[in-house]
Amino acid sequence: MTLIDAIGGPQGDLLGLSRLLGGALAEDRGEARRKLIARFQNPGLLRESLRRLRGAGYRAVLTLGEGRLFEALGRHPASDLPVPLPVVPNLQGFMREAVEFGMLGAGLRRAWRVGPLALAGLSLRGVGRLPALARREFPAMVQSFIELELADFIRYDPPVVFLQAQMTDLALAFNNPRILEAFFAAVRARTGGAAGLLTANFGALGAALKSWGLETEAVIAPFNAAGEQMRPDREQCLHAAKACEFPIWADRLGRPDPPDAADRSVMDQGGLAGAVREDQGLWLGP
Amino acid sequence: MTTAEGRKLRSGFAVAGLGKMGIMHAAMLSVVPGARVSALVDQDLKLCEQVRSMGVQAPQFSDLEACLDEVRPEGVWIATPQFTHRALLEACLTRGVPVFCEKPLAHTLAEARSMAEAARRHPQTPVAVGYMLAHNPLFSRAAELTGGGVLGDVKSFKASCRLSQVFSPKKGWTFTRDRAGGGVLINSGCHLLFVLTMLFGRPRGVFVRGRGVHNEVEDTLTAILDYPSGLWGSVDVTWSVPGYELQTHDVEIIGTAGTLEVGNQGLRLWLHHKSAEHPAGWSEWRRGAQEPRAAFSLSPDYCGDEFFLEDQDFVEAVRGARAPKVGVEQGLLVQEMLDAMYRSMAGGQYVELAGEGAS
Repeated sequence: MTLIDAIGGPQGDLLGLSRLLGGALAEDRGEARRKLIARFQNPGLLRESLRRLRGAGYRAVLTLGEGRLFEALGRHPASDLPVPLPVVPNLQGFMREAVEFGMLGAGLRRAWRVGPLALAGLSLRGVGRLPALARREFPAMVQSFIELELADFIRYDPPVVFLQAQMTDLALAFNNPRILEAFFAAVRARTGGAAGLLTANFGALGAALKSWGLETEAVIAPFNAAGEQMRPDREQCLHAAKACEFPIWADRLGRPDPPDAADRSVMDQGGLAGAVREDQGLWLGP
Repeated sequence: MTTAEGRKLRSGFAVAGLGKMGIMHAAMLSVVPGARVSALVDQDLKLCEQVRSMGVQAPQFSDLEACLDEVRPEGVWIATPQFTHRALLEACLTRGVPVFCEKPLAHTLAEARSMAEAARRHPQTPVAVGYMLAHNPLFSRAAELTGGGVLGDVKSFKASCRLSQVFSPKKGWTFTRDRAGGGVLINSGCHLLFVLTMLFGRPRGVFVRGRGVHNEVEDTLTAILDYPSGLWGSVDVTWSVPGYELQTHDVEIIGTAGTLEVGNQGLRLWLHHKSAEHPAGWSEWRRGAQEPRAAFSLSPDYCGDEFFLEDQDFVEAVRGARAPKVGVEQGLLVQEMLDAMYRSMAGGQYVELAGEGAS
């Protein structure tokens, strides 16, 4: 079974919760969006929406590791809910807690959440990285942080884990494959799933991966008819997408509306697997 | 390249201050065509090491003056806390090195004036200030529409800056009046004040009520600004409300011919009657569809284009020996507004702007 078969819903689409849980409202701060974000403060109502959308054929939901999500999903995988596809690390959540509790406090809270047994396992596996961590080496910190976050997701057996876009793009900007290698190592160490990348700079990704000798198993990047946030431009992104062997999903950038025919046409031209759906009509339902 | 004083500078830029914004600028400098980071500066050398482990191949310094003398960079990004800006800027300017200074210019008006004086003494050396919304074409278009008379006589406006960040007492320099200069207004709201200078120029005076909700410095405030033309408007700034994970800057302008709403991501114009260029009713523009766009973005949800464009602008200003898009005079005007607003907040009275900044 291919990854697309395993996680693709209607028209190959994935559900997206990252911006809805994180509260990053993108361009739309209208009443419906506020209502949706307020609704998802309640894990019970979030679970209700997830169950309804699984019933409509959506198999997977792209999401940050937030406490409300885990409450909504319950302690064990449920066949009537979509499988979570983690986006790691949850920088936004970490920074939010860091403002409240300080960097150390935020780190300790993360550690506390995963529980003593999982923490002990992580510590044993991380012993080899201690010197690098003591030197605050960024790739080692990324790997440890991601392993810590994945501890919350393991019980749901995610088929693919995605690296948060800022991390992917930091690696691209600094031409540093070690950041991606750290992510791939963390995913290998903690899950049996594939490793995918989110990026806002898709046009630069393919050449960088090739020059670094690295391969990803999936990508999520902006694709739309208007070419918004498609870097360096729409044509180059479509050209690069056609040459890819891994599946690509379109990041809708928090747009409140579903992909229209023009967007779908662009996705077809690039051979995309589908879109990540965060539109409020879908999530709020009839 | 050679400075006005005949000093030779080497290709490459230094980044001083390696917090969140310093890392952002280092990343942008790595992707702006033709630019590169040639030195990292922070009092905490472990931070330098950390940024080097991200992939920046550059020497590290705990002292900017040593970096300036040894590396002789063609420009410096100052991304340290605002109470350190003046000394660092002066160290650069006395050596003829161009400076990009993060916002706000300083923590007090006196320091900002001293910096402006220093910049005026070195007119050939570009100094930029990090008000990145100047590079958002929606705010520029809003300024053109407003200034061009599309709204008729502009009568009033309502502006807000919102962020979900402070919900309990906080520690650190950001929350101390003596080092930050204030709270949410100077740390976050200064971007909104810059936008207001783009739209309406220099206000005559301000009346402000603000208070700490959780801290000694103000966490929330409401202000009335008035202008020599008779225009007035309200400003609300807070970092203590939920639902705004990313900072927003919104302005609604009311004129005799229509209204205009502009924010980071969208611009809407509503006209009673069609004009030469715009229909009656609503016209809308979205940020993602507007030029200029950045060749690379590190944060598409929040000003990713603007961070790239402001850094590209400064690199081009340095190499083309031209003024950057946002210079020290605009930075000083914002500082004069901040100063008047804090004086009004402290005294509970209407306060006129003191000063000399760009109008």
